[in-house]
Amino acid sequence: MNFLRAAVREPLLHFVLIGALLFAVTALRQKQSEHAEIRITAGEVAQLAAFWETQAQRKPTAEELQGAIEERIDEEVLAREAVRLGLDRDDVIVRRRLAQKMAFVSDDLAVVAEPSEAELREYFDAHRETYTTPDLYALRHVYFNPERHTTLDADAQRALQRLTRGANADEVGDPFMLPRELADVSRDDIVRDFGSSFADAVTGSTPGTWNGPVRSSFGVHLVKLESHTPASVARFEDVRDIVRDAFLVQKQREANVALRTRLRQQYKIIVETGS
Amino acid sequence: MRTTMLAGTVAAVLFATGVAAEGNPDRNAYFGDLHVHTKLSFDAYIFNVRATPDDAYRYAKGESVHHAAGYDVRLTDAPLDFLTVTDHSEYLGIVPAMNDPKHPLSKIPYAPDLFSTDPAKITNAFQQLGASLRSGKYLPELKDFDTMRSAWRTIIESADRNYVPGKFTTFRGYEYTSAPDGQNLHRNVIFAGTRAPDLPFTALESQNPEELWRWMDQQRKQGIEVLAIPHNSNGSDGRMFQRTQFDGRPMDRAYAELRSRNEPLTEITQVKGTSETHPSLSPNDEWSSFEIMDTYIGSATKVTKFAGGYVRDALKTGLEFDRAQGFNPYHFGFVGASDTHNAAGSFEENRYFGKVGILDGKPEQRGSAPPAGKTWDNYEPAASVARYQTWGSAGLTGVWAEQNTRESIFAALRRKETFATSGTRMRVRFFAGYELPDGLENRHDMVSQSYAHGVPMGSDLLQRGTRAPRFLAWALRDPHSGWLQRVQIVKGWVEDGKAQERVFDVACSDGLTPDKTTHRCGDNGATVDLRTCAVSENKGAVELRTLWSDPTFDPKQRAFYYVRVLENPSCRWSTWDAIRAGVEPNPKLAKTIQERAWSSPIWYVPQR
Repeated sequence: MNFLRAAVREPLLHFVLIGALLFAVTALRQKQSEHAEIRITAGEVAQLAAFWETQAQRKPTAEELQGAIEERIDEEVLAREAVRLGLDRDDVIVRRRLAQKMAFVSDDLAVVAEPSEAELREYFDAHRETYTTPDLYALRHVYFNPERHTTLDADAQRALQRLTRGANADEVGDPFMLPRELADVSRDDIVRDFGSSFADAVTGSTPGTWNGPVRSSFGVHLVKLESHTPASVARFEDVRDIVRDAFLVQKQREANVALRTRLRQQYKIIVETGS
Repeated sequence: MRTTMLAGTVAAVLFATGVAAEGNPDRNAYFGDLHVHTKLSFDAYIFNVRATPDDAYRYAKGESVHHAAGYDVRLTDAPLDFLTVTDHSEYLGIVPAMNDPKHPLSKIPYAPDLFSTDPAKITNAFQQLGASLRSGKYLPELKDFDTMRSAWRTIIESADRNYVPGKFTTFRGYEYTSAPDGQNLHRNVIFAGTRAPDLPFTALESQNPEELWRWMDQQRKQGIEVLAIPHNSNGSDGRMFQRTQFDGRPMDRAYAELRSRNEPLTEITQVKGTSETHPSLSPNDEWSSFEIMDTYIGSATKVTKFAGGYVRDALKTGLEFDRAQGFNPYHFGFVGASDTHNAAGSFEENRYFGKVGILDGKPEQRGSAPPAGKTWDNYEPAASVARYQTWGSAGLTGVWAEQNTRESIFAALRRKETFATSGTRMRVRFFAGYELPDGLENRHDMVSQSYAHGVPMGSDLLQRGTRAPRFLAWALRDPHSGWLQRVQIVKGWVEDGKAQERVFDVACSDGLTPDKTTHRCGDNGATVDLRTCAVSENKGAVELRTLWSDPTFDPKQRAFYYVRVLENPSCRWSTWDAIRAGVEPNPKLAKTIQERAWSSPIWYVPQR
């Protein structure tokens, strides 16, 4: 009893048994594979030679090259037999590599047809926001650095009166490193440099008059909206090529997902929960 | 006939000086990154990065892209104004091809190892490529020019497709990856326009940068304008800015001109450390230990020679050459960059996501949080983690240009009207002149007056009698970053044949003034709460500006001056990571940094 229990645990015995089993299976299958071909192409031989050269820093002799070819054949034979015996299963590395290869191949399987004009127009209509130029603004402003004014609000109010009476804006307020006139800027552009409260004040004001004071990330400003161009959607004809590119990318993605879904349907998939 | 010739001359002058027909004559600051890798770089692909050049441009324009570590990243504060994809030209596009089962390169015996999940196999296969780059010799089985040409076309077409004149500028470019014996001599090569060669000149053609420059000269003769920007001089072990030519022969005028013609700029900061100066080179500069990387690139080998590896030291070397021999090999301006291998630069400390794909995409991989089950007391990081934890977040390039176009921005790079930042978007202006008027710093036309009566950053100021020049230094904070603490001017000069250096504080925040003898601002008391990273309110300035004269000016002494601006202290990325992970910050790392900007220098040139 004890002897049997020990034998069951003995790795050497396992090894011998498994070896015998493999031998039996291999012998059994030998007959079926008699005509399978292993071909090492001229291109592969050249690559083996080049690889050898990289390693040894000189060209291989005929014997050395033959050695490399023999190794390559051994590798092929062993690999094929391993697959026959199912040794590739339960191996994470092999599985990932195969999945990667299949993903590459499936990109080709899912060929996307050239879209019709109607399809492109439909896509364009469904994604109009992508092809829209946002509201654009032109504005002027003058700046007050809070660190340089003890009576900031009063100074700004006085400047506002001067500007309203027609004073030259270039000579009002403090020097400022960013441009004092901005043309063709979107709300996002304004937020990026001046912050959102400044952008809100500017985009909401009536064109042509000086307003403020308005706060920004830098201090206090007086602003004048010069003009506002409402958002506009591009003409389909002008963006057709961009629409086509986007359409094809989307269809390719959909086709890839569809292929994976179709493949999944060929399997009954069970995910066990709990442990 | 005469009229035509005159018109031709005017046009030529306008072209040569880069004066644009439109745009802001006072020039705007534009921010960008001239150093970005995508999956077409052999190393990025191995780091599991699959983002393309188009993805890199989409990210720069404000869209989100996928990070190899499994999450999406996006520029949250603001998009960039310009970007160049600079993939490694050596084996360009080859590694992706090795992973494509339809491609003959996938048949190479070690190809599967590169993409296995076994780190030892990846490392071994990767070493094949690394060894090839260190030796400068092609692996014959990977010498597939068709594949490289096709990848180069992808880069070119992506750059051209993503260029939006007036809004977003791209350049065609690549990285020349020379590292003889592992000593880093990498350069980014940037083309001005829509013409570029059939294939890049790579370090596998020659590891000697002089050969690269001669090739660039050839390109220029064919009308292809191009410049190169060295980076990570800190990882060159003193070789990037050595005192001899590549092969050890003494420098001469022809060498200095060849170099300056092709390399008007150098990268002063990026993720793999800041190369401004080293504490051992600048013992009297209290801010010299900023984001120092003291190893070779991609290796634990320690740097032993700091002289020749840092840009302030190189500028001083240049002055000594100029004085002794009448030529200056190191007459360059500054840019900053990311060198991201994720197609996406990580510029913001509070959202740092690393540089090398799956290798440092998570806090425990970059030493900012201990791995599960460990504390800082019982944790010894792997060599790679120990390197990644010393890396800083990405830097940026600022340029002063009339408008956001290839012509205007390339001209700014060419004339060195550039500044570098540690990732913040503070703006810095710097002018020098003899006629800068009193009170200039308070005038509305400060900039146009400065252009009219002085020279901007990146220029030479020639001696005029014994008069001392004036310097206008002006900095404006980044509204998405901290407040400004001080503006400094770093001076280098030659005295008795030997170059010296000194740092002057010239403008201080919070009503402080620089001390007359120490030239230092008093402490403005700005602090950081390390539990939350909150910074003190009401400390620091929105902008700082001053008109400065050098109290130590000697008209006979050759000198350079550049501006360095410091923000108040703020949390380093590793501290932000630790707070999010709910752990103490790594005790081996700086908890706070002072974000900063560096202007390109202005050189004072005495008469001989």
